[in-house]
Amino acid sequence: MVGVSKLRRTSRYSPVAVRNYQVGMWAWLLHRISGLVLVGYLFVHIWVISTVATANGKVDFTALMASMANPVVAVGELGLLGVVLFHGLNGIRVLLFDLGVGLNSQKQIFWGVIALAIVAFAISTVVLWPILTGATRV
Amino acid sequence: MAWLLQRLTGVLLLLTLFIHIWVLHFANIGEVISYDNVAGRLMTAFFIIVDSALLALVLYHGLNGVRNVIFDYSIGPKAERAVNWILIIVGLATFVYGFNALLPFITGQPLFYR
Repeated sequence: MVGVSKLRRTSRYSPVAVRNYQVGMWAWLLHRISGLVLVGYLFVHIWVISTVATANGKVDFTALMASMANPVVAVGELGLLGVVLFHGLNGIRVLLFDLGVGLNSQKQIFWGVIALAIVAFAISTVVLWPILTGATRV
Repeated sequence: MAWLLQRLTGVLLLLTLFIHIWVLHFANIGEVISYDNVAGRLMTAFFIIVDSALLALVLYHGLNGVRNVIFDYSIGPKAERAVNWILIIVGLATFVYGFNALLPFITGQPLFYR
């Protein structure tokens, strides 16, 4: 951590420039980007799932699910899960701060969020991969 | 108000989205998602309520998030009003569109076909 007085003397220092981001700002930026990714996915998801609202819902739904059971889509789905895990867990972190809890440990809590997300992601990947890729047929 | 609602919807999304993902992917590991399973769940009041709530919550939370991002760029009060209306209309229209996909399981048929 560089002292503030020294930073003021560094002519091009800006606390809001990405090159000077510290943990808290990275958490904020990642929360924002992951949120925008999720909004984009949300509209695609509602649109795609609404293909069930046809006269032939069951046939269309089954064909849609079959078309998605491959490794490429599976990677996308697991990536989506990773983004959801980060955004949800970091959302809890933000809520804690709103309640005045943990403000002095915000960096450690951020790394806790990352660790929890990685563990949940890893377990989910191992468990879901055969199903998402269509290797498992029941 | 929007700030508080963003927190409230966030907390409720933790719950409803967890149910959504858990039920579809983890509750019966090995079971491939099928129309009959989904339809069977949507015949119950619990999942109709959870899915409708999820749709409304996620649209509010997501579009209000977009609003927060846009407003961070200081676009001025007139543009802010326009953004508000556009997001409200997009949200309501998407809710109707999404809820339409649930209607076959509530009333037997959707309001409109895709």
